[in-house]
Amino acid sequence: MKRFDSLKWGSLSPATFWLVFLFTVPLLVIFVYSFYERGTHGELIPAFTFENYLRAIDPLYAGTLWRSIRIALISTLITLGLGYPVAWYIAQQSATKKQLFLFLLIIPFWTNFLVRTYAWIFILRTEGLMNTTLMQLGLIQEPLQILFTETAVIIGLVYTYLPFMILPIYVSIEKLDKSLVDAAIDLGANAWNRFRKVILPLTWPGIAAGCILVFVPSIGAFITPDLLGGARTLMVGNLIQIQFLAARDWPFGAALAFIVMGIVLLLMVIYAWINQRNTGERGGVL
Amino acid sequence: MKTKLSDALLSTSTWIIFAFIYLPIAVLVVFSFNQERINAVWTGFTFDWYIRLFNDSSMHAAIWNSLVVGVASTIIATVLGTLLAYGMHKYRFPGKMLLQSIVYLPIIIPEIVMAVAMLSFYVWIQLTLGTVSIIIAHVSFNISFVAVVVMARLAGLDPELESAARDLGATPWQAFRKVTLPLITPGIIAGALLAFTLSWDDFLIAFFTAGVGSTTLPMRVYSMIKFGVSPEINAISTLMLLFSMILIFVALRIQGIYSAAGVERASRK
Amino acid sequence: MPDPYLRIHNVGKHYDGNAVLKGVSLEIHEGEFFFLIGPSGCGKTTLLRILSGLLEPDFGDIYLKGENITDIPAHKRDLNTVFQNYALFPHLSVFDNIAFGLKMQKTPKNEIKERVNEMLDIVQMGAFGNRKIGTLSGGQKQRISLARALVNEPEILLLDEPLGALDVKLRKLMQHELKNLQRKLSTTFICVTHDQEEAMTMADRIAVLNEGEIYQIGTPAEVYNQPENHFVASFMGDMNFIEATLVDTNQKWQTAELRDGTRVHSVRCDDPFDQVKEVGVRPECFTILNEHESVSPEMNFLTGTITQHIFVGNMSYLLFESDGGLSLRLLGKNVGMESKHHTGRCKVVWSPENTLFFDS
Repeated sequence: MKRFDSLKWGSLSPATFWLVFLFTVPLLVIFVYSFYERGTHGELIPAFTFENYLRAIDPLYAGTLWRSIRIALISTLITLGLGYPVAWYIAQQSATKKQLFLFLLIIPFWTNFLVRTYAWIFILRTEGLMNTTLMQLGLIQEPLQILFTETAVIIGLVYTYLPFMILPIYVSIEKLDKSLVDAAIDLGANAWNRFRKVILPLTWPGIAAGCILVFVPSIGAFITPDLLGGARTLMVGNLIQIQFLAARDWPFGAALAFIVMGIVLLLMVIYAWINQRNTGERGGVL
Repeated sequence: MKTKLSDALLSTSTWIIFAFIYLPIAVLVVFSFNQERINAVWTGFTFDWYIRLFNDSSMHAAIWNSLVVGVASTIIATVLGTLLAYGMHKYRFPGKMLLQSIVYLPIIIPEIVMAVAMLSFYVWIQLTLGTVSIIIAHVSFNISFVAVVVMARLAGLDPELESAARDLGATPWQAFRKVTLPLITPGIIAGALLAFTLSWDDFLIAFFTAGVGSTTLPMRVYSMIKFGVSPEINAISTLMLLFSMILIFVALRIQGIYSAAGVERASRK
Repeated sequence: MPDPYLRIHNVGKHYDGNAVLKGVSLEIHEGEFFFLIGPSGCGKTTLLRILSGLLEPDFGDIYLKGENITDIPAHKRDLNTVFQNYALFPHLSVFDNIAFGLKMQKTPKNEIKERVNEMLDIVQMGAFGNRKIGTLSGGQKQRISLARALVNEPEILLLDEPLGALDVKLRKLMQHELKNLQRKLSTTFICVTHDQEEAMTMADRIAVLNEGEIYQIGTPAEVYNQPENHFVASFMGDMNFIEATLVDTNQKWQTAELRDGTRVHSVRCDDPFDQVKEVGVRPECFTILNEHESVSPEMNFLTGTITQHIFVGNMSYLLFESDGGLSLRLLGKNVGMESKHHTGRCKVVWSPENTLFFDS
């Protein structure tokens, strides 16, 4: 009875084929490599060992892992602190102003990432714009060493991912039923309580989405720590790159890559689980 | 209710943050015309750095490679991604959840992981690195981005339109081509523009999958940055920013044409 | 005996483990205006979509003029649908919408022009050819979707709640127009609705569905006056139900005893009941007499009190409580200013011809 639907197969097959063989399979390849051993000249020796994963949490490298998590966390919190008020402000504007603000927010997203990161090198370096200006104004005697520190990396990450935090929060503030706030006022809640007991819980999906959108790319960052962080502020991404190029230790690099991926996937599962619990009441933002 | 003070604070902090977002870009552009090479002190206006760029042949090659990779990967990803979005929107089938997870994976996965995965894969199948290896990798993540954008557009479409077409004698393929496709075209264009931008801007994946002679523009800029700060980098950055602005402008014009025709509104459920 | 025009044979459909259609069979005659009616979820729309080919049944067959069309895909069937929300193509003009089916059949251009314009005139929208769909009102969209389907001269026109989105006055107007159109074209129309008044106004025959099964098929008069079971009796119009048991059968009547002991007669039919669960009487079948007035011996009656009088304009609903504790709804016409219907003690009388027995 079932008729063959050529459109069904025709539409799904090409992309599925590509995603399976030219994306999923490569991931499987490094998964397998993560259990291999490294030969003396950097070749791959087929094996099945957990040594690479154990090395990753070795004190020597654990510091890098910990630094990545720490930097990502700090960046997320800072973007949240800066982003929520901005999202709130935009949501209060008239319709045309809202469009304008959102447009201004999106434009940087379309510009090149390297370029935006380079701008901060230009500003933060010892002979950079910030130091030059501050010294000319007489505010400091010696140039501030900000470039090639953790601070510079955090500035870079916050700068890059701020719009990713603002937008989801803005969406959930927009969706907020204003009559609920009015009801709270009617029942005697002051501004702080209204925020804490009504607005914050109801915009929580936006906050969660924003945090995920900032934390996930931050923890896997490469360019920002590479250009702004220098040799002493390695994050996991840099460590992986070193294994695949200079150190020629592909198994170890693969293991690191999968640890990062594992953290990311874990976060997404937690996010989806939180959303599923809330979907009866509010629904997710993403 | 809110006090005047908190209002003022809120608006001031918002403007400061917008300034924070745009100042670095403005700084870059301004200093691309600075005569001084090393220091961030303004010594005079010049086009020198732009002239040097125009004479830089390796820059020309990099731009050409980026264009080839961008256009090729965009075309392939848009076709495959649009079809995928349509299939996922319309049909139920066993393993749909698994496919959905696979489709979302390239979007959430850190770039470094995908970059090393593609490199390892190429080495394993003994594919020589070149321009094709970059294109393949770019298509692999762009399919997902295009699919997500097009699926969003499909979700807003009246599901009975295709039924009506089939009822009137159109085969399923004809119904797709003559009814659904025209109505999701804005979504397809948005997806294609997104795909092109992501490909054009990509550094990390190209860095790992490019062969000798296939250096892309971001790779060239990266090596210039590693070599040392120079206003030439400001200049190429400014040009790249200009290019992005043009792309945004084009995207908006196209969207404007579609909403003016009222097709957008009428096609909703 | 010649093949019926449309024969639906034991068609069934499941969704996620629920049986939406439980093997329904039905015959429809050529040129009929046939209605499928039932509450939400009864399967009527599912059956309509199976007929159009947009949905495949899990089992069963459909025969059109003797030919099995079950495996023929939607775009090759000679049936067309008018969709509930019209489903007009927003990117095409009115003309191109109507012409769509003809273009699919590769009809020559001048013939398309002729037939589309003719159809536009039939639905009285001749001047609208170049308009965009987004500019049309609900009623106008409805006519265009009719035109788009009919221009293909289908064997059968399927209509899925075609008047549901229109306001009351427009709906009454369109009911009239649709009925006239169908008579004029003599095309078979199969219409789905949940509005039983609409079905009774327009239908030649009705099939009443519930929970995936057909509960009765007949003309509006048959379905209304001779409902075969409790569901049909209560769905089509209003019905008073009283629990009862069968106590006697003779040449003329069958007699049942009501919950409170009263005995009522019903006219004996060709296939008399073996047992009775309920007695049913429509609210409009009662006559009200004074409490002590005499009643002819064949008539059924109850004595009691009218407790409420609800004025609805041209009619009144009266709520009646019998002395034995039975509650009835009565419906009476208000003629002029005479209101014979006061609250208070009275007798309600009705004829055995209007007394229905139900065993299910």
